[in-house]
Amino acid sequence: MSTIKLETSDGVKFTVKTQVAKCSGTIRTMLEDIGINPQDGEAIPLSNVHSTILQKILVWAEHHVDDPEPPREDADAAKRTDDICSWDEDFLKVDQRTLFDVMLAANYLDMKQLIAVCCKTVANMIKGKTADQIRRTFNIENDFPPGEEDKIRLRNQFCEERSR
Amino acid sequence: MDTTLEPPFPTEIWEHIFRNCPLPDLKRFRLVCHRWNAIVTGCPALWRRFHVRFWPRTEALSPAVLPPVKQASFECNVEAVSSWWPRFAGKLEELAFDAGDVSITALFGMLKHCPNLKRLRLSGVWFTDGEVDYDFSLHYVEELSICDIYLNEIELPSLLTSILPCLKKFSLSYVDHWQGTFAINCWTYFIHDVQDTLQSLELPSDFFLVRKLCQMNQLQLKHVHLSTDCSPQPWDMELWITFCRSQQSLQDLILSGAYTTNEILCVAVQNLPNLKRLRSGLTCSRQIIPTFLNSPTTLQKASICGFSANLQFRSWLSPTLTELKLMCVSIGDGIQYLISSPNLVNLSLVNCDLSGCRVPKGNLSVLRHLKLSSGQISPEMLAYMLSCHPQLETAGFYNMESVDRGTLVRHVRFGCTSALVRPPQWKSCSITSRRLIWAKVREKFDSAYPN
Repeated sequence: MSTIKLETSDGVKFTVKTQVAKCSGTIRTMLEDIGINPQDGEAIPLSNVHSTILQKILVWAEHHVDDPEPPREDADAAKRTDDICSWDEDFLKVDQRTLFDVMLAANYLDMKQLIAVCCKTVANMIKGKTADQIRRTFNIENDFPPGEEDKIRLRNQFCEERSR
Repeated sequence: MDTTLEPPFPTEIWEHIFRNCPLPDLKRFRLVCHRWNAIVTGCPALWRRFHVRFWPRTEALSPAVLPPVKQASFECNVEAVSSWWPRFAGKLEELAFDAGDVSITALFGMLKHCPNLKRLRLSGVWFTDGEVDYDFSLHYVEELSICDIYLNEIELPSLLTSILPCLKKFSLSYVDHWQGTFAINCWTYFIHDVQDTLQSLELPSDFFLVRKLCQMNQLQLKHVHLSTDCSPQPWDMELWITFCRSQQSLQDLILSGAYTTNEILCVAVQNLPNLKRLRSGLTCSRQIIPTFLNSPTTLQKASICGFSANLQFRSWLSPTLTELKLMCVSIGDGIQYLISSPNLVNLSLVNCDLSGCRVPKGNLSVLRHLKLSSGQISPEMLAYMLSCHPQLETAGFYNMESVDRGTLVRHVRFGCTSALVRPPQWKSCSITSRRLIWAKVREKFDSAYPN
């Protein structure tokens, strides 16, 4: 089984099965298109990812390495968020900071399935909440000048889901 | 430690998260902060999902309070918006008038300010006459759909012809006959005038229109949907043959009227040299041999609703046919020809009675996707379908009363290495039935039957 080495931002080196590493679109592109040769023992630098986060992401990739391609979905329609498998649900039961770091790293590493499942998790955190509850959840400051919110509320009144 | 922190996400991740949320949530997200409002209103994939609907109570609207949508529809007096319409309409891609009285002066006055319009729908509108300025062209309009409008003797169709030079798709449904032949004539001339660019046509149940179509020699359609009833009167088989022979580019045919027979479909598949997809009903009083599916044609995909027809397959399907969906038919022993057809990859049987079929011998040949829904099947037949499948990748059973979990577990070889139900060569499997709700979640199925 061929392996490659990855080096995180804090200088930790990981030896990873090539097949698992290729769950990342970024690494796949490096290996296949740019032609970095994994055999020469040099580690691929992942300057945006910390070792604690990469460790976690590798656990996810190892578990999902044999997954089939997901079916294509209608890009415009609202997606389901109740279809997160229980393994992923447990995997993402972490504090907010870790979850956000995993998402940023997954985005950098271009791991579509992991991003999708993380985004569904965050969507479930904000669905059905009022603007104020969301602000408190994420510590977001209300930066609207007085009156602006009322204007948006008025505009919102006339928007409807598009009938197909 | 304070665990709440503002997520440090780039816009693309927020857009991805928001795409998982329905419209009422998106409206609330706009109220969170400047950035969230900008993300929701700035992402086309989010905005494409909704439009502005002008209700009678919205007459006091002005552009200042409108979101940047690309679709708008009207159910109110259009004159109420005319003062600010030009500033709003420039970006519109889709416009619909859904009810009410509209003067053609107002309609054309509004259309004039929609240079980017792609789709126009007029339904349930009562038109009133007036002076019209039609000295402009909407080059991007490719789709026009008309449903149940009252023309009031106004020659609206010919006026539309002059402003829609690039129309590709025209859908006409429900022309009321109490308007006399005026409307039918108008729309016939309309189709005649746009036939150079027209590719897709959907017509209501009026055979007169089909009759007229046959006389249009420029008409080269790719997609036709006729909801005409094919009862012997007024259906004219000679005319149907003429029409099919004239449509050399036709790829998609939908016949959704009643009384479609095997003979009518045979004419279609034999005379349309490029037909690829067919969707139709099929009416027959006694058992028939569906020859339109057997004879060698160009047909690749067929979806047939049989209204309890009894189909007797006596030979393999057309070698070009890769996908077949049969609904509400009973299939006798001919099932063996169906499932061993040379190139059939995808077979769906919905509400089909397979209970009387003898179990065939030999392997299914190239079938890769099988779906059975709401029908009857014997345990022996099911066992055959599940186990003699050299290439089967996906199998779905929906609402099958006679499918019990014992049969499935015996015949589906589940390899449970991960959270997927994955027999050696299968890529996915979903099993639901009134008695099999427990198996809906894949992981649960796995834990119930580890290896």
